[in-house]
Amino acid sequence: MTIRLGVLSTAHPHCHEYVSAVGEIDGADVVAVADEDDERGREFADEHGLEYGSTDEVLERIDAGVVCAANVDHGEWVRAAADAGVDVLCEKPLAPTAAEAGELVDVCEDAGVTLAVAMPVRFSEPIRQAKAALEDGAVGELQAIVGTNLLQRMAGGTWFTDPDRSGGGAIMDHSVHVVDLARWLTGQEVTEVYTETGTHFSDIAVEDIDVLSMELADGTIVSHDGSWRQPDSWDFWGDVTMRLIGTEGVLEVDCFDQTFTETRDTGDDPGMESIYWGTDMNEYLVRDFVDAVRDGSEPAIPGEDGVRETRVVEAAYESAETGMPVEIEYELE
Amino acid sequence: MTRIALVGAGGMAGVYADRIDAIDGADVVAVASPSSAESFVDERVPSATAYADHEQLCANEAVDAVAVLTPTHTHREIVADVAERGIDVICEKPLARTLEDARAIREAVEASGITFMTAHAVRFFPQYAEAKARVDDGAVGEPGVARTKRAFGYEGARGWFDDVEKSGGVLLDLAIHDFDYLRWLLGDVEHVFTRHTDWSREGTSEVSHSLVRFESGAVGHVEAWWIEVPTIPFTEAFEIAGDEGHIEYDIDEVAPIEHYGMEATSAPRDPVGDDLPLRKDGYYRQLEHFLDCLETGSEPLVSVEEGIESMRLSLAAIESAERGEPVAPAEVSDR
Repeated sequence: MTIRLGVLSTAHPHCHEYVSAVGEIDGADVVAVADEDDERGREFADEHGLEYGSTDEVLERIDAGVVCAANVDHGEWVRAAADAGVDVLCEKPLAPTAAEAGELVDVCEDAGVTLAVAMPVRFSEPIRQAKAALEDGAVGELQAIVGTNLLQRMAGGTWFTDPDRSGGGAIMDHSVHVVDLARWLTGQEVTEVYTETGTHFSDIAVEDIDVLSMELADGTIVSHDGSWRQPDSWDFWGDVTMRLIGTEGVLEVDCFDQTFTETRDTGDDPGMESIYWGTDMNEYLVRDFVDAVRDGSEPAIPGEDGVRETRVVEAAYESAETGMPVEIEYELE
Repeated sequence: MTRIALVGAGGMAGVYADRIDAIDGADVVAVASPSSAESFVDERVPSATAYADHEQLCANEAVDAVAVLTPTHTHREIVADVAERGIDVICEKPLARTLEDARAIREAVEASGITFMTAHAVRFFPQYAEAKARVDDGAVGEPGVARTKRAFGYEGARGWFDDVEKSGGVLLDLAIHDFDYLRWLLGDVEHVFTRHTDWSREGTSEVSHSLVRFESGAVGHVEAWWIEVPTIPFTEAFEIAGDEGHIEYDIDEVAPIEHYGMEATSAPRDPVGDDLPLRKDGYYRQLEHFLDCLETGSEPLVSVEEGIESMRLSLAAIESAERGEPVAPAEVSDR
């Protein structure tokens, strides 16, 4: 049986990557797209040879949807999909607040649909190998993590920099990957967050500095820089790096450090570019989701993880507000 | 000829002796150490005279300047004694173990009127100096985020470095290099938030990260650790991100000469080694600057006050890690 996938909103540019990724997967096809912006949605449909339709029409036709909406719109799309019995892979962060993220988990559970969060970095091969090495005792007992998830500067004029549509800036957008990796690698929750932030690199209405200091439940110390700060002329879009420091060793992971250098004198964007040739993590994210849809199995990153990570983001904003570290308490399950 | 005495005969004494040997117009004439002055002199500077301590040395030798290269907690007494004799001093970083000691050093320096320099050599490392010059020149616009890394692995116990009472640990001894550099680069600091963890086998392994908020609004991230894992080479790195540009340096990417023979070797990279492919490394440049100040009577780039201010950041970081709160360098208590 071929799983029929739909793109639900094309507000987030990752939608292009997910469609390309599905192209590599047997037994799954992207068949349709719906969008709150008709023009944008039709353009996307034309570009990828998909049918464009209303939300109801598309939800009628698909088994599962990939939500690529602006952060504040995730909820509406996820609820609509759940109502229609359609499984969902939702762009991160699951929702701008932990309360809403929790509601979405409940809605999907009540409707009996799968909810997965798009955290592709978990499928990075360097990270997966690092996790295996970590479990094999490569660094002894893990003591500290130093992470980065940098991005080029964010131009204004998109929903990313509109706090009413994004719920926040770099902290909202670029903290969850490293938080997710830290939780996944250690099996520990983040229990305290301290934040330094500001708007420095671009003239935008949200923060572009995202520097966090965290502690995990077992005392592991974690720092993270997810600032939108690399110059436009940067040779790559950004990075995801993690240094795992333990009692008997250090593992250095640079998820996108499999590139060659391309330098051009001509064209729209002359200069030096790094061209990534490593494993496409999006493909394996989508494969995992398609397997979950087909088999009714739990996806690798279920909605509950999105709730946990959103709580860390909320605490990071609270710390930015108060200037003090903020503790996160978890109820016993 | 400038006659220099080394007080201390450990690792840094070797670094200084080699550089001074390479500089025209300066000589190491005497070395003081209670434990190893004689063997050090025999091996490294046979023309110098060995003494058991700085007082005997100063009583018997006419020296122009003393380099204080002893464990941190002993700086105060030595600098005070040497300054009282009117001899100029270059003193290894960190300036002292406690603020109280640092203030005593300042008083001794001021009372005697000697030329005094805190040896924050990183300011003289060519890559750090060049980056600072370019940032001052506007290469990155206004800096918004600056990250630094300084770390290494080691084997076995490391003597006084493992004793926090003497060295102050990784935040006072190692992170201070980057605290000093960032202060020089970005100006005064509003507060520091630090996390720190440690464990021990033979020595004390320590890992830290510090978030630094500058008065300019810029944010620093200072990563400093030393752990008992012998395969980890010395590493240093910095990144300065501004609204108009970006500078990054990572010693891991620097390999102007590499050798593959029948035994495993690695490219020279340790700044205290003498095999970097540089005609004048940072320690050489630092000594050249100090000697130049002695000759011209000008104030060294890193005064006693600068040494104190950089210590404040380390002490604020230590206090922050203990209290679990951001700490302003101005609030640091005497410790």
